[in-house]
Amino acid sequence: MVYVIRNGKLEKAHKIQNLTVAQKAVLKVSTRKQSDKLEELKKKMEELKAS
Amino acid sequence: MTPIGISQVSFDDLSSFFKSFDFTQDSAHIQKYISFIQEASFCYQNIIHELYDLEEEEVIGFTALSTTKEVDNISGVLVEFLYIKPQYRGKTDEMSQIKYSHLLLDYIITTSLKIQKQVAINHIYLVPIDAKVREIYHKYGFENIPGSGSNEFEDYMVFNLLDEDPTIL
Repeated sequence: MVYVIRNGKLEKAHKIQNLTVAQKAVLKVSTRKQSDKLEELKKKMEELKAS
Repeated sequence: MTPIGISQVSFDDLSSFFKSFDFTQDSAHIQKYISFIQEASFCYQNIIHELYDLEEEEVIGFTALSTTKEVDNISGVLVEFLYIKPQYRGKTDEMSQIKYSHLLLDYIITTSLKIQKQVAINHIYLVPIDAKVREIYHKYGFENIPGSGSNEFEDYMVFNLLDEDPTIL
């Protein structure tokens, strides 16, 4: 469960329903930054496994 | 230079783990949030992972992880909370030259990649507590899901674990 500060109070974040096309696009395709981070961390995981 | 460790806090150690912190420098909202996180961890509703200094044997911060379908029923790992002690905020680990918050985020991504091999979970979600923290996550690589909250400050953020996800077409 995640919370947000709403009107000065700590309240539960709302559930998201019926994503719009723009919202789905953010979930569907990784940004360059995300892809680079994944590549970096996967490489580190492989190196750890090999050592 | 001291080595840094990150590991899951066992259920038996949860009580002493939370007692080891002094949250009085944090806002009332943060303190209340942490009490919710603590309560949930005692009910197996999230798992706490700690970041610590191996030499000083001091905890630097922690994160609370669970899973969610709150984002339009698309399953994901949920970062319920990420806490860095005030004295370590914005600071960098000398050995890795990586910010402490980023060390925890790297750990969350790596853990999620391991889960992804076993369970079909392709996203990591979070909702930052304020705009400053949102900027930190954005710099790391999380993206806002525009219009997903009641206002822009409540928008969920996501980190995709696949370059292209065909599951939500």
